[in-house]
Amino acid sequence: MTPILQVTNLVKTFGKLKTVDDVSFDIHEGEIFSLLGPNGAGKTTLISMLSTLLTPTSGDAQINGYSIISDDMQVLKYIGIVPQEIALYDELTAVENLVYWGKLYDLKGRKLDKRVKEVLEQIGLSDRAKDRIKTYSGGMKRRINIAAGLLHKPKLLFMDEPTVGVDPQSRRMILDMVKELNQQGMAILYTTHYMEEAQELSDRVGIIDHGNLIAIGTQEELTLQVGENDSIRFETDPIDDLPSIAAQLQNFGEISKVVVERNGLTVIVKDAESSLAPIINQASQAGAHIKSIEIVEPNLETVFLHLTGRALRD
Amino acid sequence: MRKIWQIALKDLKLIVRDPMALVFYLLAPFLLTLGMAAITGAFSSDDPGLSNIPLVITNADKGQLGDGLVNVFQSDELEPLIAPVIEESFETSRKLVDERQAVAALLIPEGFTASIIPQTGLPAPTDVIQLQLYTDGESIHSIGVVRVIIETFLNEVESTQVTLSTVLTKLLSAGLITPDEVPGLTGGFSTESETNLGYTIESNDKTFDQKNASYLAMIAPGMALMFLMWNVTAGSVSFLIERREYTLQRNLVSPTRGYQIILGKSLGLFLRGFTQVRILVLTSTLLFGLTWGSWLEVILLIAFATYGALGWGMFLTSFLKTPSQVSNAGTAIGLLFGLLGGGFLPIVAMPTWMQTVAKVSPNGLGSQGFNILGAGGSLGDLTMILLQLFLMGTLLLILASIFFRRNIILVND
Repeated sequence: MTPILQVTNLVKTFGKLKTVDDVSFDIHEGEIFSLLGPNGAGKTTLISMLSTLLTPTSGDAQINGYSIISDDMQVLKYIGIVPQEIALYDELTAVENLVYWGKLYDLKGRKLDKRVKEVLEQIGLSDRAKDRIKTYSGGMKRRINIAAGLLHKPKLLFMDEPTVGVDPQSRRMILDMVKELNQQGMAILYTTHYMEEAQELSDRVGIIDHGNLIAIGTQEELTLQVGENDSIRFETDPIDDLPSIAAQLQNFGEISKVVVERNGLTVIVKDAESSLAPIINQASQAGAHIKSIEIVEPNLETVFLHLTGRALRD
Repeated sequence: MRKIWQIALKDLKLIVRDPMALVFYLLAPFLLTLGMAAITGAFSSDDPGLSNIPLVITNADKGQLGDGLVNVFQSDELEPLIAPVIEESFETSRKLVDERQAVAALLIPEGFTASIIPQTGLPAPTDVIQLQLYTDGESIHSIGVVRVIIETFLNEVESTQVTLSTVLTKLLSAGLITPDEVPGLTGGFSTESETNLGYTIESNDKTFDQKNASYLAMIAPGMALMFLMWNVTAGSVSFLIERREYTLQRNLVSPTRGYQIILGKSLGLFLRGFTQVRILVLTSTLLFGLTWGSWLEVILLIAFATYGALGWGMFLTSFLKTPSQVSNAGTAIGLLFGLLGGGFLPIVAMPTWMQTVAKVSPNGLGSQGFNILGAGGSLGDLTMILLQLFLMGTLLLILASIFFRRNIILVND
């Protein structure tokens, strides 16, 4: 498959802070690629560079064969952006907003009217088309925010955490829309810190932390990095001294890693079923007041935990 | 160009959609005019009003038409309105105006009648001699009444000529008279349809003691330009608001050049500022009879002053980072420029060095331009001022474009 996006050694520094550190990857036509990482990992900075809003400190990226540094105007014709923030004019109606953004993408006349109508139908807001954005709910605003990025039918769509702060119904609608757009042939770069979204949507996932792309591959390829290991999550009493308990569990039995989380511990072991009883016993002796236990099959969360020693939500 | 216009249009639409902003937008210049008038005492003007208007007439003509015009001013019908005084010397008449004893002095020059009705045995006149009106330049309404009477009189003379000419032409074409009989029938009255009847008007503004001039007339341009400067600076905050609301970033990631966004938003601001100052000029003219100059020149000057102010507004916005920074800097610069531009004190009352420094501000240049127009200056007299304002606006907009890209980005991650 032809890559629609090729990122090569991209770096961005702000003063002494390196927010994106030598990142390279590519996205193929018709692919959904998720960038999974906690808040502050560098996802938005990366998207800002790819959408030519920020100039890279070094490195480059090619979108449909055009450099983000030297051919920015060409690049912008092929990409659509759905920013993390609701970037709409509250005092204008949905149609007025979409017409405005469409015109900036050189759409006009009947073609523009047709596209506005189509995207409004696509996001299920045709009946509210003439209402001002300020009268919309948060979820509806999110949907218009997405629609504005679709008007010119981009080949590559950047969606930066599009489900942040939305109700479950709108979230479901947004995820279904992403799949639908992908089925129509659009390549999508989707950033999120929700593991479930990355798992549901992605053909491939890149895991980013502290500006570094620490892993990349299909979900199966990534979970293989964790090996045959399972995760056991313990919810404990808030008064428990978790670092001390974690230190005592660290070298016990077949435990390969213990991660301290906000409300408990996650333990990575080779075989959860056979290790569970001795681990509970050891944890109790170490002073843990266990409230609940959950055995988790290897997933992207486990991968992130395995690679960084931290949970995604930390 | 289409994108620039779309961005400007969107900004104007956003103002219209915000009822409070719209009210402020339309009412502010009107309220400022009333405020200026209140503080400068224009509500209690020295204009004697529309009765007993003191007018000095010097009739050096002594012919039919000269006497006729004097009779008009002395007629019973105009008696409550005009209080004419006959003065032999026009110099004395002018002095009376300068001393505020009359609002205007009218000179009917020698030969005025003869230039319209050729005297027997003398050749037909080549040029019509013009009446001369000398005014105090301030008593707008009273002078207006005098001018209406003069113009009505001249129109009557002109229409008599036209009527006579038409009748004679008909009689000639019908063969009822011969060309030789025409002079006898006109009684010597010229039948040339284009005799260019008229009068010249001169104001004593240049010689008049400034202390006695209308304070409103002197500070109004400065106040208008200070208002413009504030307004444009305040408007340019919309850039930072758009940045805060992330719509600016969305504009930037569309295939639209940075300069198109700057120009589009600038055009919106320009149209706002330009319209508001026009409202101010119009209301002050209609309500208080302020004379700003001829409309074409006034509009051009407002447009160029708005462009200069826009340059400053955009320049400030391009390197300041928050709306409150722009607001505070805008207030400081607005006040400073307002002071330099004659918003508080007439420019003529300032030290020379301050008048020179004032030229770095659109206010100073604009005020200078308005003064030229107020003194009867033409577009030619205004050229240098317009050029300086244009260069100021262009230079500052270029600098703003350079700083804009560097400072516009906010990244949250």
